Amino acid sequence: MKALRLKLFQETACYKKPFASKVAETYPLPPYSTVKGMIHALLRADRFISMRLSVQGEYEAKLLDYQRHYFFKKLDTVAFPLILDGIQENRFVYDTNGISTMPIYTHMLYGVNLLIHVEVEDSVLEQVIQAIEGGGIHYSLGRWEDLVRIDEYKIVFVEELDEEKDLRYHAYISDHLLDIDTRHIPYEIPWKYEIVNGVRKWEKVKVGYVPKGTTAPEGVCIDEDGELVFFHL
Amino acid sequence: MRMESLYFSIYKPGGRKTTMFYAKSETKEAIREHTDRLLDNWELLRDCYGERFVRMNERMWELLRLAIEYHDIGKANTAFQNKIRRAIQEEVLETDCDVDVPHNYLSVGLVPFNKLNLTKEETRLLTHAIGYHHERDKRPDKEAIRLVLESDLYLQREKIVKHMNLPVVEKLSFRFVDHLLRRYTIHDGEAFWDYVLIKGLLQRIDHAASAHLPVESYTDQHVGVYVRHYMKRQSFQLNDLQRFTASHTNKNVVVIAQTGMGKTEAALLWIDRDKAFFTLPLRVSINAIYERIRHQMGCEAVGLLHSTSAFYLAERGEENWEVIKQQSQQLSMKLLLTTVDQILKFPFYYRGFEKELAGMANAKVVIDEIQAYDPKIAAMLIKSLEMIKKVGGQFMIMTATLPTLYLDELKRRNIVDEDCTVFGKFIDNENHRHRIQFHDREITEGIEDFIKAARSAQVLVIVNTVRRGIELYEHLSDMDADIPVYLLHSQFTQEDRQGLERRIKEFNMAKEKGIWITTQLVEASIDIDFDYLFTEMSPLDSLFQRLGRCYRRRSIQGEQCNIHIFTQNVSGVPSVYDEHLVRESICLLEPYDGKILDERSKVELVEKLYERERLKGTAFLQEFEDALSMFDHLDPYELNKQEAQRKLRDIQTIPVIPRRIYDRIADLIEEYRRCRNGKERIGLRMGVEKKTISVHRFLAEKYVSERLPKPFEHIYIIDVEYDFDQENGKGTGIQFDKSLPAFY
Repeated sequence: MKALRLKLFQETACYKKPFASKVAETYPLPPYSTVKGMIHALLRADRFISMRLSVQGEYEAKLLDYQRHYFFKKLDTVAFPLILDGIQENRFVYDTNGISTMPIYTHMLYGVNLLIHVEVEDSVLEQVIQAIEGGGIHYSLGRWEDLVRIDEYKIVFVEELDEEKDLRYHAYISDHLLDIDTRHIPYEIPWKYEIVNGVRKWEKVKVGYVPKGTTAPEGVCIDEDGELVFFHL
Repeated sequence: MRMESLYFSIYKPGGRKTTMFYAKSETKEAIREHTDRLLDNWELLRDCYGERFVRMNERMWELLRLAIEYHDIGKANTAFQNKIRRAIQEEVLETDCDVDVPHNYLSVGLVPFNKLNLTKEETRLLTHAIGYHHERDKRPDKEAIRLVLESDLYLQREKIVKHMNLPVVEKLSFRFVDHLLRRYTIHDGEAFWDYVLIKGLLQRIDHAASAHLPVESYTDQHVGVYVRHYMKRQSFQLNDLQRFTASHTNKNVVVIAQTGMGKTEAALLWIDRDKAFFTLPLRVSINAIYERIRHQMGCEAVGLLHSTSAFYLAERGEENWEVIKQQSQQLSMKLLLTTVDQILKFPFYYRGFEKELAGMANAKVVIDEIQAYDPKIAAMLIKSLEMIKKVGGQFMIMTATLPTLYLDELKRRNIVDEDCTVFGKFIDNENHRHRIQFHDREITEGIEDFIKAARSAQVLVIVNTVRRGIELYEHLSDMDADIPVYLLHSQFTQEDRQGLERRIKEFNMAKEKGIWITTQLVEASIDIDFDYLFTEMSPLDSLFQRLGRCYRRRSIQGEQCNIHIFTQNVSGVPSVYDEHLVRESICLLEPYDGKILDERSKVELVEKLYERERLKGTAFLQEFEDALSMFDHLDPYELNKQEAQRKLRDIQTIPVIPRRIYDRIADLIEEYRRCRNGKERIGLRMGVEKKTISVHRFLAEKYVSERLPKPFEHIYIIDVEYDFDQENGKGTGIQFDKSLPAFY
C-alpha cells in the first residue's frame, strides 16, 4: 500500500468540538473531518473525495484564551466586515437583531506536532503534492488563524505490522482495531457530512484516543520508516 | 500452640532442590516452597467452603490456582534475589540489571497465557489478580518492566521453569502493562465481582501463607453447637426470637427486637455452622460478648479485632493472644467479633479492598445495633451490604429500632427482598415498664425533685453534654443535701471512667440510695436498673435507650411516673443532636404525657421519626444522602487502607493527659523505653494509655502545651485541672475553665 505521510507543526490549535458553545473545547488531535477538510482545501475540491486517514500527534501544553465569538441569530444575515479598524469613513453599524457577540473561553493546544497518513487514489496523491509544492496561500488546520507548517511530505509504503511495537505518539485508533482492555479515552469523531434539509448531517467514527507508550493493538500497519499507521476504515 | 501444629499437618514440604530462588528473607523460603503453602491453603479453602462460595465454580477455582502458581514468579529477578541475599547474609549474585521493579508486575510478564486456554475475560482476570496482588503507590512502568524481563528474567527462563516446575512465556509481550493500567471497576459488571473474588482470595491465601497460618481456622467448630449446649446447661428455652433466627439460617435476616431478649444468642443460632463476622458499635460490648462466647460457652473458634483488642486480650490473660490477633487480622477465624471500621470499609474502594470483601463471600455478617451509628456510617453499612450480597455473603441486621429511612434504602437497592430475606419483629408488650412525665422546664430546675426522690430510691439523671453534667453536679454538691451524688461522663481518664462504671453497677446492685448524674454514655453497654430517670430531651432512639436504664427488668405498678423528661433549654442542641429531630421527637411523644409508654409504641415512634418525609431538610438526612452518593460515585483505588480508616474513625478527638497526672507517671514512660520484655512493655504501655482522656480537638487546642515523647507522641499534655478522688469516686473530671496556676 502507498500513502502520503505528512509531518505538520502548529504553534497553536483549537479543534473545536461541535456543540461546545459555552467554552470552546478542543479535541486532543484534529478529528478526521478537519484533516480531510484541509486536504480538500489543498485540492480546492468541490465535492467529497474518498480517502483513508491516520491521525497521530502530541502537544506541549494546553492553554486557555479568551475570544470574542459572533452569534448569528438569523440564517439570512447579510455579509459584513468583522473588523472595522482601518476602514475609511467608518459608518458601519452592526444589526443587533441579526448578530450578537460574547467573549468565551477557548481551549488551545500549544506546540502541536502531527503525523498524518493519507491513503488516496494515485492521481489525487499527485495533485496534493503539487498543491503543497506550489500553493499560493498559507494553510491552516482547524481554525483559520492556526497556521500549519508542513515539515515533511513523503510517499511511503505501508504494510501490516507483525511484531510488538509501542505508540510513539498519541493516536486515534478506530474501534475495529482497538484492544478494549487497553486504557483509552473513547471518542466519536466526525468524518464526513451530507446536507439534509439544509443542515450538515455527520457520519461519525468510533475511536479510542490512546496515549503514547501503549503497545499497538494487533492488525495495525507500519510504514517503511517504522511509523505506526492506524487507518480509520 | 494449637494453630501451629494444625498448620504443619496440612503443609507438605516440596523437596525440589535446584537453583535457589528465595521468596522470603525471614524464613529463607524458596518461591516454590512459598507457592506450595498457598496451594495447600487453596485446597483447604476449597474443601471447607467450596460449596459456600456462590460465585466460585470449577473454572474460577482453576483461575485462582493459576493465579497462585504464578503470583510470585517475578521474584526470581536478580535485584530482588540480591535484596534477600543481603538480608540473610548470603553472597549476592552478579548482574547488569539492578532495576527495582515490583515483582507482582513482573510475574504477569512470565505467565504463558497462550498455553493456558483462557478466554479473553479469564486472561484479564488472571492478569489483574496477579498484577495487583500487592498494591503499589507506583503505577507499572513499562520501560522498567521491559528491561528486567528482557535482560534478566528471560535469560534465566530455564532455571525458573525448573525451580517452579511451571511453563513460562516463550515470547515476551508487554501488552499486559497497558491492560493493568485499565483497572477493573464496578462498570465492568459481573466481571468486576469475579475479579474481586479471585484477587481478594489470592491475597487472603498469600497473607495467611506468609504468616504461616491456615487461611481458615477452626473450620470444624460450629458456634451454633456451642450456644445450644450452653443454653441447655443453663436450661434456657429458645424464645420466639431465637426460634425465628434458628429456623432461617439460610436466609438474610432483619430483626427488630428490644434489648434483653437474648439477641446475641439469636445471632449465634443464625450463624449456626457457618463462618461469621459479628459487628457491634461499642468495643466494650464486643469485649463482653467475646468473654461470653470464649469463656462461658467455651468456644475456641472466636477472634477479637478492634483498635485495642490486642491490649484487651493480653490484659485478659489470653495465653496465645498473639495468635488470636493474627488469625483475627487475617479474617481466618470461624467467628470474628469486630467493629465495622475493621472489616466493612470496602465501600471506600481503597487499594486492597478486595481482600476484605472476598472475606465476606463465604461468611455471614451480623450488624448489631445499626441505629447507633451516625448516618454516614449507616450509609457505608448499607453500601457494604449491597456489595456483600454481590459476592455471595449473607447478612443479619439486628436492632432495637430500625430507622425507616434505612429500611427503605435497603429495599430500594434490592439488598433486602422477598426471596432471600426474612423480617421479624419481637417485642414484649406484656410488661409495662415506663410511665413518662413531661416537664416544660430546664433540667436544672428539677434539682429539688431529684433530691426528694433520692431519699428513698436510686435516681439517674442523664444530660446531653458534659458541661451540663458538671454544672448540675457542682450545684448539687454545694447544696450539701446529705445525699450521695456521683458524676459519670466521658471526660475522666480511662482508668477513672472504668472505676466509675464499676461503681455505678455496684451502687445499683447494692440498692444504695442517691443520685448519679451522667451523660448519654450510659445509654449503651452499662447494665443498670434505676428507680427514677430524670433526663433532658433527646431524639427518640437515644431517649428510649436512656429509658432502658430504668425499670430494665421490672414492671411498673401504680400511677406514679418513673420517667421525667425536661424539654426546656436542652443542652447539646445543635452540637450533639439535630434540632429538628429533637423538636419532632417532642411532638411525637407528647400524647404519652402522664401515660404508660409501652414497648411497641417505642418502636413505632422511632419508625415514624425516621421516615424520609419527616426528615426533609435535616442535617441527618443530608449527611446520609451525601454519604450514599459519595459511595455510589467514588473513584476506586484512590485511597489506601489507612486513609479509609482515618475517614471513618472519629478523628475529632485526641487523647490527652492532664499535667498533674503526667508528672506522676513520667517515670513510667522512661521505664517503657528501657524495657525489652514484650509482656511488660504492654503492661507499661497500658499504664500510660489508661491515664488518657479523649477530648474534642477544638476544646483541647486552647490548653494543650506539648506532646509526650516517643512512642506516645499521639498523646498530648493538657494544662488544666483534673478533679477526681479515686477513694470515694467523687469529682468533676477534667475542668476546662480552671487553668493551672502560672507558676505551677
